[in-house]
Amino acid sequence: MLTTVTPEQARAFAPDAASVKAAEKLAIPTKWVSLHQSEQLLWGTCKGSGKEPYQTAVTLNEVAFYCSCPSRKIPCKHALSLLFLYSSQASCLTTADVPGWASEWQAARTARQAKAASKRAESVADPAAQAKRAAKRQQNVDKGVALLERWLYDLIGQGLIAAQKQPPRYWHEMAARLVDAQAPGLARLVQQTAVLRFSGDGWHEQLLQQLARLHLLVQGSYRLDQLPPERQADVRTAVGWPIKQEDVLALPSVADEWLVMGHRTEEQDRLNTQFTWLWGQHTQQPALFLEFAYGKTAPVSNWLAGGAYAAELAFYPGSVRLRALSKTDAPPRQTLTVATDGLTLSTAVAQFNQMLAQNPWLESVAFPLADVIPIVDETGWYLQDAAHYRLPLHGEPWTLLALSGGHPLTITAEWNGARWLSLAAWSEGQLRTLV
Amino acid sequence: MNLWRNLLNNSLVGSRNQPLPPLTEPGPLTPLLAQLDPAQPEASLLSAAALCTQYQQTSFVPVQDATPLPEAAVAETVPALSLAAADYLPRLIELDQRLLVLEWLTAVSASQQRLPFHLLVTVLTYGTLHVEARPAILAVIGHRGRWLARKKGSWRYAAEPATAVEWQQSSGTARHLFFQQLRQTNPEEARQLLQTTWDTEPVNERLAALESLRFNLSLADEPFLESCLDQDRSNKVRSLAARLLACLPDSQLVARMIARIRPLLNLVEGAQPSLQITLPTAVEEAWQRDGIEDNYNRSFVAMGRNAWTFCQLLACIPPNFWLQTWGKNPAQLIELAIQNEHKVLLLEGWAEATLRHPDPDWAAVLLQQESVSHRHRALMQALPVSQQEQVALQLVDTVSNKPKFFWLAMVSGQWSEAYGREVLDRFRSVITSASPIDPLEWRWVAGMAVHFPPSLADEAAALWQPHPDTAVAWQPILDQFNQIIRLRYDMITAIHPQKEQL
Repeated sequence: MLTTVTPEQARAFAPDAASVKAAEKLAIPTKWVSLHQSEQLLWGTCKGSGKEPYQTAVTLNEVAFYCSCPSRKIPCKHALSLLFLYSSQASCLTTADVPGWASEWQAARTARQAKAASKRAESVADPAAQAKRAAKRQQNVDKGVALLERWLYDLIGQGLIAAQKQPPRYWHEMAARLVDAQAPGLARLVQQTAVLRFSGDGWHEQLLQQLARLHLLVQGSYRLDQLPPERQADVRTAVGWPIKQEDVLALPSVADEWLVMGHRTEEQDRLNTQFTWLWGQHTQQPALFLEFAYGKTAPVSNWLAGGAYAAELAFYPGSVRLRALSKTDAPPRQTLTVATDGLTLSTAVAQFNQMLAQNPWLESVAFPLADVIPIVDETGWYLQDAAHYRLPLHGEPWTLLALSGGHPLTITAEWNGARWLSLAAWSEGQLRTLV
Repeated sequence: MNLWRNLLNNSLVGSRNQPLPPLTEPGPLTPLLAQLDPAQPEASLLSAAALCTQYQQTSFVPVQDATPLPEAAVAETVPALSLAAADYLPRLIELDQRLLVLEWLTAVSASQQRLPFHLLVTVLTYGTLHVEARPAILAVIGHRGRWLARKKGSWRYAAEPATAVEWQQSSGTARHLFFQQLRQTNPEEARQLLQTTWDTEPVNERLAALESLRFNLSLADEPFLESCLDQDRSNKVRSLAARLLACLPDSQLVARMIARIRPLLNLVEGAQPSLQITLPTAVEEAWQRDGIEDNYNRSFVAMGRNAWTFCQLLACIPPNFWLQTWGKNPAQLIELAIQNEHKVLLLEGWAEATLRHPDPDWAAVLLQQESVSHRHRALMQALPVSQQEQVALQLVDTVSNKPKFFWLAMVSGQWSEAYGREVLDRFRSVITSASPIDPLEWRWVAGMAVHFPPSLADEAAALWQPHPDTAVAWQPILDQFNQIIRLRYDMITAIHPQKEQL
């Protein structure tokens, strides 16, 4: 629930940099015919290239955008500039009664959400059809897994050097067939493997590791019935079996104050995935939200970095509790000005290793790290903690270096077994996102 | 781990092309490895690889590094800008408003504040592309900014030397800026510092240093500059030194030039006064030493070789010398020049002389002469802003063949409030009339928004009521104008939260 929005937070909602520029140009009160706000809603009309002025609205309790302009982007530049205006000059939005078209939109939206919910309920109410679909899917997945196995053996048989010379088609076709086999998780892992060929030094080692993990997944799929339920869940998640949100929400939940450590977006085949990393202040454990959007829309998260939300989280089944859903719809937010207690590098790595030992397909986990210093020298970028342990940093995080100035600071970062990806850092009383 | 290395080697070549290595490894993996079936080479290889991978990854521990940490940044002495004010910088950069970025940075440094740390990367990156912003950037990045700039090649312009010692060892924009600042506070010390390394500096450094000598140029610098004329190896350096000496009205070089030109230029009094000019026939060596070039192609306006020599001589002499010698005012002298057969070289020479010795009266007269129109902007901007405003208003009222905004928009820098109100008045009279719009007016109005005093933002917004006939064409210009003024007002007031006035 947003009661105040900073300009930086408003910019985070933009789908791309061009939208920010376009929205800035519009964010002047003289360009708008009317600008109003009421509880939880902003709206206005803006003159555009059409005959009638465009009607734009933004809801604040669960951020959503509406505009009558023909743009396909969500949010379009009108909706985004409305949010910008609210963040920098809220006084220019006068309080007024909600107009007809805006309440119609809100009503239509609520109706759509109710319809989707009832549709889900309906499909549950027909277990026979559901079972038939599940069986068909299992058949497809089995076929896909068999194909993958043959492909893996063929790869190992010819050798990694020969495989490196294969055209991109060799990898993309396998991934495509796995998507057709309704195993998107496997497809994604194959795509990742394709990219490893170009990762520079040590590519062959990383490639063999990834192929070994795929092989483990294939074998796990074959022996699914023999595995304990937690391990089954790990395999099914990695393969890409979907799990219904209602089923997850029905599981026992963990209540805590969850600090939002930061966000990261991954783009693959027009699918945008947003990772939102959380840290339980009392339970001292991480959690992860995954949100998806297609094409040009950006996944919109109501959980803003730097805030602590008092909520109950239900975790997806598996040997390691990581991915979660919030049971609380619009939890109260508290902005943290003092850095949370962080872990040392050794403790964080040890915690990751424990989780990895349970779930070999775990990719990365984020942690808050206390008293670390980012360093850059001729060999690369590193993080060093108070005990002089040093680990590599991903990329070239210059902003992190600027915030640190060579002094220790508390940061949040994601560890993938080889490198830290910095997400955010506490500086001058604020958690600043770096990504 | 031996097994892992063997597996890796085998997988590189391919399990079809080489027999499997023995799948054994001393340690906890042995019982698991024993379960693998060597009759299925691919499966066994991958399974063994999976076991090794899992084992290695879960037993990974970071290493300790005893190397000393790099030096940290020094603590800041200046308070940071508020977050609300800081937010304007990314917006200005996104809107691609270069002059506004410069204005903002200058205002921040004038308010004795520094940029918050999270903006350092943005501003340093901006400075790599926009060289004109570098001095302003250096003033607001604080110690942390300089520390950061030393770490990246493209930011080194901002790793300013703090002491004279470092100046001797570094190069680039930061070094030039340091010298400029020293020259502004302590000109003597600056010149002496320059003289210590003068002989070893490369040409570009010498040129840049001489340019900096323009600040607080005085007769104390004369001996050094004269020695440059005698000893320097580079043509460019010598000619720059000569130009600098020509800017000092009491220098010996100017005295020499006066002695050379006196016999060549005379005022003949009488009922019809006129100027009598004798063109020089040759350029003597002493003249060349003093910067007179023997190359007529260099002049902007076409003129003969001897004419060009005369023109250069005239350009070295402060125009007020002629006022004192002949007792005429600038308007009268220019009138005489126009009537003369050598009109071109007289005007060109006097225009250059006015640039070197700025004077509002001379500038006002010369700005009305079309034949030196290529000098107009330079003539205007050589004057201080208050004098520019004076001249512009004078010209708007007296000269009718140019559009009104032509003169008003030529004033550079930050306008005073009085001038801003004058401009608003004239602006209002133009837009409320029904006359069609000149497209050039359009461009000047938009350009003026950057110089207009932001404290008059409310007055500007209140006055726009264009005539209905031309409203459609004027509206976007006015919108843009108001947007920029409002933006500047907001950003400046955000930098000074306590002050009401700007």
